[in-house]
Amino acid sequence: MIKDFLKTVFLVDLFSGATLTFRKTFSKTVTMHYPDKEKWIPYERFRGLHYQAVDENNELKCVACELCARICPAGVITIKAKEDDKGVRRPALYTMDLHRCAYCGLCEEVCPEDAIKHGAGYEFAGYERKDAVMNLDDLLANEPNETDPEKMGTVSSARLVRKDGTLKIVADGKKRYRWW
Amino acid sequence: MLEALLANTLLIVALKSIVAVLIIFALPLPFTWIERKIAGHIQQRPGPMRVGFHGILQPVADGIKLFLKEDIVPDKADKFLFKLAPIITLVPYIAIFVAIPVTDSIYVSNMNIGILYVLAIGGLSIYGLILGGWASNSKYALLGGMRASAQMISYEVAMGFAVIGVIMMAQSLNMQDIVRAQEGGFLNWNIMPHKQLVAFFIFMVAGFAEANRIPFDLTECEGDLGCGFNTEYSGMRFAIFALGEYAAMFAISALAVVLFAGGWNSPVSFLDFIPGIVWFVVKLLFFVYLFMWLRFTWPRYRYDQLMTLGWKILIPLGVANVLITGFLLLY
Repeated sequence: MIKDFLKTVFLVDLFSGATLTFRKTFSKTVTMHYPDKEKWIPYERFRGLHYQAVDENNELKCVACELCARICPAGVITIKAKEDDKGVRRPALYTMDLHRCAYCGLCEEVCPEDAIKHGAGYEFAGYERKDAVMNLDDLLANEPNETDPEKMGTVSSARLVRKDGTLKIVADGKKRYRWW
Repeated sequence: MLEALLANTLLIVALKSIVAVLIIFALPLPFTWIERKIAGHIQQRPGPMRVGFHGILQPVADGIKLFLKEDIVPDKADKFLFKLAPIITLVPYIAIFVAIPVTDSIYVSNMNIGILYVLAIGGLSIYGLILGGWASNSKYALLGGMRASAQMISYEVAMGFAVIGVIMMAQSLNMQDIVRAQEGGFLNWNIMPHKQLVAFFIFMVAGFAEANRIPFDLTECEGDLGCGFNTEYSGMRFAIFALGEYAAMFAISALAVVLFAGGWNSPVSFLDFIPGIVWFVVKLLFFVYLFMWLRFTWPRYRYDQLMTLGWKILIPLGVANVLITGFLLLY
């Protein structure tokens, strides 16, 4: 009772709060310097931007079976099939309108050839609506360059690259730390 | 001969005033950056980082942005008062610096009623907030202005009582005499417990309220008033309100240095070789840091708590302080 009264009179709580913030002023910051210096590499099972996988001969795995287009709940994928010079069924047209995509992962799950996959990309922003519509070349370019599961889920050092009016954040992996 | 001398001194005073005003206009540039850095590091984040080295050009960018913003005057506002209010807020705090002695030779004016002048002029700035709130013709702004007036009435009295204690110690209203009365080491400063510690506490609490800083920034309480008295202001007029807030912070800090922390005097005698202006600036920076530090530490007071603190605690405490100081001075 008297203790509480004295605590109120001498503003003990306010001063203990002030000492806490003073201590925190000199502690290390926890900010990830995302676009300028650092970038987070997502985990292995992260469902990010899709990419088209290629086999060891650098050929498309996709056989344009249209299973992904069928199962997609949002109708993201449009496929037109063709026959290539070796007589294999391949996609002539493969577009994904990512405005509608919910990143549910059904396309990846249903694919019999493990061709369409979720990658690590999460920078979806663009200047125009058509930037979010991916064709086959875009999907091939989306393949993540980091595949080591040990290194996924870390924060990597990165650079902000401005080129042709677009921005890209390139992780170089020189320094890494786990963000937690 | 006499006329030439008079013109000369007038010129000097005018020059001094211009320099003082320029300094006050320039100060918010570095100090908004410092405040945001302090805010960031208290919350374990780095603060502005992207404009210039560690974000040091951020205030310039903000200034350009505010300068280029559209200047909106509400349709149903009282146009004249609306435009006048930011200036009324800013000018008194600049005028306070006229009376503040940086050292015994660096000052604009050495008035024999300096402290009285400071209290009188400082009280005027509240008209800017009230008029700004009233002229905006907006309910949030009006409520902010009303709160400002109530807060100012409660806390100006307490501040007056705190200052009376200091005046009694110095036996003078002259700011330079008040500083000279605290000469001879930090034990003679009014901040010490055997001098005027209680008055210092009252002065600082009232000063936080006068400067409308957290924990007493009820006039612009974002949570329940939009943005308080400056809800309707934009662009440069808003910037002038912000400038007034900074000038208020500096004025209160400078007053605290002069009245309680020994002005230009050094704390211990073997450091006397350091010039007085350095001591003044160091102490001023300490108090400004105190303002910023506590802003990001403490929550805002509720309105009834504010009134309770002002009327039931600070004013009785101030009266008791004056009474005890008087007794101790007489016997």
